Amino acid sequence: MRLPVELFGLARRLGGEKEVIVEVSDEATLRDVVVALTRRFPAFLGPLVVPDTYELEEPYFFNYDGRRVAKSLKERPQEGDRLLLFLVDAGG
Amino acid sequence: MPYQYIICDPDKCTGCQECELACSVTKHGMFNPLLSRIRNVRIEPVVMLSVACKLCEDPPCVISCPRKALSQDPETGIILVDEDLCDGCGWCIEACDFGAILLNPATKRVEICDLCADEDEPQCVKFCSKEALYLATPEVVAQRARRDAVTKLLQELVAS
Amino acid sequence: MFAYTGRILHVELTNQTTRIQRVDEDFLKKYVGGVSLAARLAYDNTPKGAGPLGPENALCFATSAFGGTIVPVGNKYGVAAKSPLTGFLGDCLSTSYFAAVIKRAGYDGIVIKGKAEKPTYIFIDDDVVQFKDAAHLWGMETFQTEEAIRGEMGDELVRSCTIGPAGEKLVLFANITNDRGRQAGRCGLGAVMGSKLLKAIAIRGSNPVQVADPDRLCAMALELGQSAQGTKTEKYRTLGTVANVLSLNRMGVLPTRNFQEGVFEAAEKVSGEYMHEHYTDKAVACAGCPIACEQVVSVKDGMYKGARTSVDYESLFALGTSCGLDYFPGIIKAIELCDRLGMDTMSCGVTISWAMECFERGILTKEDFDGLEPYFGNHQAEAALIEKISRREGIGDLLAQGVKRASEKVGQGSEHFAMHVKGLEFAGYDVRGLQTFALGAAVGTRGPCHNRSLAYEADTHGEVDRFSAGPEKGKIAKEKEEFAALLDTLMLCKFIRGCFKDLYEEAAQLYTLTTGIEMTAEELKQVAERCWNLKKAFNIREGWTKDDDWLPPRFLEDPIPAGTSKGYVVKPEDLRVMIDAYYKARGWTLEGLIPKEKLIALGLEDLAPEIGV
Repeated sequence: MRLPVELFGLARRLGGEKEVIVEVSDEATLRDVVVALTRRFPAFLGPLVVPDTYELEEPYFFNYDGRRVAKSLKERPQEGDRLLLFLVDAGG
Repeated sequence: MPYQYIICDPDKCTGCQECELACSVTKHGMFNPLLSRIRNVRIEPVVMLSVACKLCEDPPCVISCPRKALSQDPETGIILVDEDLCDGCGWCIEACDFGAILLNPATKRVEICDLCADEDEPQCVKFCSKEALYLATPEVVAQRARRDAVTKLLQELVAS
Repeated sequence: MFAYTGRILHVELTNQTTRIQRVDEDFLKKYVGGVSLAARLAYDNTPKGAGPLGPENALCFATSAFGGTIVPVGNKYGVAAKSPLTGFLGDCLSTSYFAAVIKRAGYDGIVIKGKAEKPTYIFIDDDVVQFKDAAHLWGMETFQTEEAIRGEMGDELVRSCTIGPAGEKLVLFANITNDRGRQAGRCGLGAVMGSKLLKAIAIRGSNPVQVADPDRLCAMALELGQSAQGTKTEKYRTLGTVANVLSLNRMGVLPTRNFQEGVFEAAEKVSGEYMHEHYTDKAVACAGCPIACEQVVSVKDGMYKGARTSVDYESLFALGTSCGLDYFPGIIKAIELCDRLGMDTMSCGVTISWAMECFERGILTKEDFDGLEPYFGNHQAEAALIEKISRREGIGDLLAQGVKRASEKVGQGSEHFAMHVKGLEFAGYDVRGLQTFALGAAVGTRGPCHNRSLAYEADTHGEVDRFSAGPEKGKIAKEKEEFAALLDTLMLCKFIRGCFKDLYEEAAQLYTLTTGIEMTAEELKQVAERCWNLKKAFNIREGWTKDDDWLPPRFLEDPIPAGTSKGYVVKPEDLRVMIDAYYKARGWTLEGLIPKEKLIALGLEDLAPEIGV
């Protein structure tokens, strides 16, 4: 399936794009999405994505369409989901 | 032989002044910028730089001392202070172009950066979280500047 | 005593006298520092019913164990007094070198009472306190004053906190500024200083600060400093807090045009990313900070060429998106003006947003605005209004009183969209789509403060469903408050919290290594709970009732019109349930009052007779 992923903050800076489409299998987990993203943007590895585990470095996380935060990378996105690679933190 | 001394990169320095605290705690066991041999200057809002002894050739401080209390170690270039001869007159402080000498108000003797001769490495460099401080000879400083300039100019070629 | 000095300086401006109050380690261990210590000093030194702009209101500064040491992000100070905006406790924190010099001059806190006969500034030179004439400084801007004093003293190590013209004019949201760009911003403490004819407090501190275990403390500090370079603080270091703009916009909770909407069509043009690309000069640090989050920006061309200041998310929303500004230089100019004139950008921005909505609805006319036409997005009118407010000129006199009083005076339905709680203007989060913060904002002791509450984190990080409002939120809001209180008391910058694996444990260790006073994680938790109850006790003494814990009508009645959070509103019955659950979680009565046993259990037994039920 093809999933749109919106990029924010460091992800946007490293990727140079606001939004990308990733191609993953229909049974893919969010971790597979991360893997796909790092293949597309190798610069993610390290600052944004932990090598080997492909966990997202804090404070980045996945959010579904701005409505719901993903609890873990084991979750399976559905066709039609819109993902945000996201961060929110204390104002100042 | 060129001397190594503490250099501060103004692009990286954020003016946090932790270097001052690292120095004073290393040399005096307590935190007080007035007892630090490296001092940070902040000209608000963006100009920030730390300054320590530059290990001059023909150091004006050594030349100026009326009691010959200061001397320069020929190997390391560090300025040595003979505490028995120094009487805290402060003439060397006036002679130094960089304000790199401090007069300890309690002991009335001057103190000058000795690159943490008693430690593994200069502590200010160790504690600078932005890696703005580093130990280098003038040649290394020039090399860095050249490399930065060339990298900026020819970014794409360097990256590939 | 290590790290602490055990001395509180009391200054009486009326007859220009000073005295030292000695405090022991038991007292200091109980209140630790910062907001907690400042609140205790305020409680003890401001009599019940004191006028906030009167001589009896004590302005209380408190530093912390970490001030002046190598502990990263530890150079902060708390200030507290009765707030002229809310009539309740106004507790602020600010940061950088001023905090360190209070300690090095020999004090853990400074309490200022009375009123000077004429414009005065205090110069604290270690243990010598001088009262100096400030006639030549009166009327000067904030940083200008700081530099003038430094010039007079001939010593750049003299640090000052100052008020600007706004504080002199008693603008109710005037702030206290120090070290050029740092402010004790909210609650109108600048007006408290102004009411005392106190233009500045200048301090030279030449004493060293000694800690119990310098070697181990330095090792911990080094580790913390290094972990603060990682991704956990990346957001602060490279973009600053303004990275929030696009995130909140995407969630549909970015306050737009006085909180009418949650999505701003021009969000990209006022985003952190845009700012970084076009306006950011450098990120600089406070004293002792390895993160360096202060984004100094400047305008290089156009009508606001030369405007230069630091931009944070809250200032950006209040003077930017909430006023409908899509022109970034206009926002930079507005923030710079507030900083120079000495006013809280948040309260100022939200008050101007209200005024703009009044104009667009025809409740206030061009004549009322002395010829200005402040429709949303009109950055020139905004800049003009900021200047008028600082001088209390024309409509500035009305707006200088804050949005609560202004809307009460103007009426005509404008109270519906006066976005404040208890008189303090809102922070940059639309609570209709962040319902845990809806609770946190309603019950916060100084008002709807994101900083004291941190409840929005539960919403934005998906710890809970941000759209639902249930009793489970009560406990969450309490825990978040206490986490915030802990950092505000130890005086560690919140931005470093992601660098700790177990904040309570590690903070307790840092504290013990610094002070030599044994502190456990459990005891620190108690300190945080004590702090919150102390602040609440102050409010109760000043007449707080549970009716004061509520939300502005807009949030309760107007659903968000568009975006990811479309359709949501905070239902009054839900808010009631959440607030009741919160009081219960806190161990308070249904009326939100504190039982005697609770005060005694927290070591606040001296408050029990007057406050406890």
